[in-house]
Amino acid sequence: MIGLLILFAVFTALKPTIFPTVRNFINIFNQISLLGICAAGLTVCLVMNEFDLSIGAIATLAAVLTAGWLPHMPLLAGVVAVLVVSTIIGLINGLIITSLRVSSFMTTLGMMTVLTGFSYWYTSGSGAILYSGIPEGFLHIGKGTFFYIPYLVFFMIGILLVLHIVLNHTMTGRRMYAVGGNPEAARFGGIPIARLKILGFMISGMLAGLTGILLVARLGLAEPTIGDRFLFDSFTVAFIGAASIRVGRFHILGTLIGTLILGTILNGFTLLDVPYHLQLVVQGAILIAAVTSAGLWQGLLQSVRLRDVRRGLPGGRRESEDA
Amino acid sequence: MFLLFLCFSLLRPDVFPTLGNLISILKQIALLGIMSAGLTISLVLGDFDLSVAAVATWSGVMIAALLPQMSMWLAIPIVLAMGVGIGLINGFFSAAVGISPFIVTLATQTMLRGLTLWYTGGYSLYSGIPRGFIMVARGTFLSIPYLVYIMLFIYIVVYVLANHMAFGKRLYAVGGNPTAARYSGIRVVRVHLVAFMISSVLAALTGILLAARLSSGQPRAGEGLLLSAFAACFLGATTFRIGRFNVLGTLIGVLFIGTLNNGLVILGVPFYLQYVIQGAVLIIAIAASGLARSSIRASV
Repeated sequence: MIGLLILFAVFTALKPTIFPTVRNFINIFNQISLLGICAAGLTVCLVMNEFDLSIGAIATLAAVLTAGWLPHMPLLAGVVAVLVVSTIIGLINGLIITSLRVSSFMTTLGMMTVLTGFSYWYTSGSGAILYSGIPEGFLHIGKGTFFYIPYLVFFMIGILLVLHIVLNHTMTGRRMYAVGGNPEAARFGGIPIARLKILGFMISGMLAGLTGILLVARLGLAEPTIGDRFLFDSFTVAFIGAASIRVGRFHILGTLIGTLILGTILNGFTLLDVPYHLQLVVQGAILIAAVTSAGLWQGLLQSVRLRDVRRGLPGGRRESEDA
Repeated sequence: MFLLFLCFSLLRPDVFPTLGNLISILKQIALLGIMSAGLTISLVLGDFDLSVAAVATWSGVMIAALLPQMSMWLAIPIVLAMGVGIGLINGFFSAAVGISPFIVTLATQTMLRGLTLWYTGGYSLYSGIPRGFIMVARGTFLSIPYLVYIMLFIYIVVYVLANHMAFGKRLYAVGGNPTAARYSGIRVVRVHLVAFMISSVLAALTGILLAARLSSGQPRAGEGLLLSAFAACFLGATTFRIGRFNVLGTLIGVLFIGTLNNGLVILGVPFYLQYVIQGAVLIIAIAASGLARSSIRASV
């Protein structure tokens, strides 16, 4: 699947002279940074086989609240307050799912509706768009750079790194994979499933909230549909990610690759002046193509393994890490 | 649960319990009802069809585009056939290729949305739509709107299909235990394909009727239906045969949502609070019936 990334990079590089510049690569990273953060949170839920459909609405609400509160509060207090709200929303999701046993699909769908209502409610007094009084220092977070690299990129890389370590190199992360892989076994193994799921939804809520906050820092405004796109894009990216490297498994590295693939394609398209609606069509097609090709590739590997087994070769080799 | 809510709304205004309002509720839910009936079929198999709303929107736009050029009786089958085609694509990639239906339909949904925006350029199509077509949505027979008859007809057909025919038995068999179903000789892939075709073709019908009601093809007309359709099916799955998607349950779910929305509108609740209440009621209703189920089990 890294091949796919290279393919597209080459493909796009063939066309314009702008694409392969360092500046454009930084630009791509800058464009995908928010999606990367949001999708990373979703990945944690997906690892445990739970859907979080409320992320887009949480991002929207967080953006609206940030734009509404920052003019009246110190910067840090405002940001922390919004993060706390988003985390609490995640907590509520998790509590409903684990203690009332409602499916995560329905819970987060309901939560998405509720939050969309709140966002419209909060902005209804001010003509739907909030933009006045957002402090300059805050906007600098979205626009500033350090060694030519935007702060947002550092944010994304930092968060992905932390989540990667948590998921792959800590007890909590391994247990999360255990819950996703075989919940029965996990329960008999004494893993606190409910607690891990709640934690997962809190992480996903918090990062969706952070996405909303940074969205305001970048755009300097908020309106009640601003974060909706992150829902579909995050799912696309996480599933492309699950189709790469270790097929069928969600992981942070895959999500990063998925984000890069989507970012590269959209960037290339923008440079080529492809209109937005065609980008939607291609985005859908790529999602199917990526997942299909991963499935075929896995089938191929499996048949090779089977052949090895039949020949008495050591067939236990795991599917390749470098697919 | 449903009765409870009905009484709850009955308590409030004088407008609510009139016959006129009940008919108006039925008319309002007709489109949602048709779409949800189709969705129920694919949900029985555990296939999430997220493309239904996009199919409806696309079909609405297509019918508005085709009508000025040809007769209604030619245009409607063409659009329905497109619906079947989309269902076939969904079914092919999810059942035959083996990609999760969630992803496939997410992708087809995006593509259709893109195509719809591309075709319309973001504008509504409303010129040249014949009066006869608009009357499908506006006309009444015995003071009951045609839409209500169409919905009831669809429900009867889908109910019989799911509960009294071999296909329905196969549907529940595959939904319950796909491996066992395959070993007992059911062509699992074909069942998935047909289910996706049904859910898509009913979504297309919804789109056509939506265009008739709006007397135009609007590039975002169907989007709001997705959430409500899923909500109706899941509510339905919690009503009588708990945990099982079924057509009758879906109808009750649709009525529940219709009554709720109608009550909220009559009470003059602002639209953003409607969102909040709908979402909350959805979660509460499902949680409540889940709790009721576990308490029944505990008492047994």
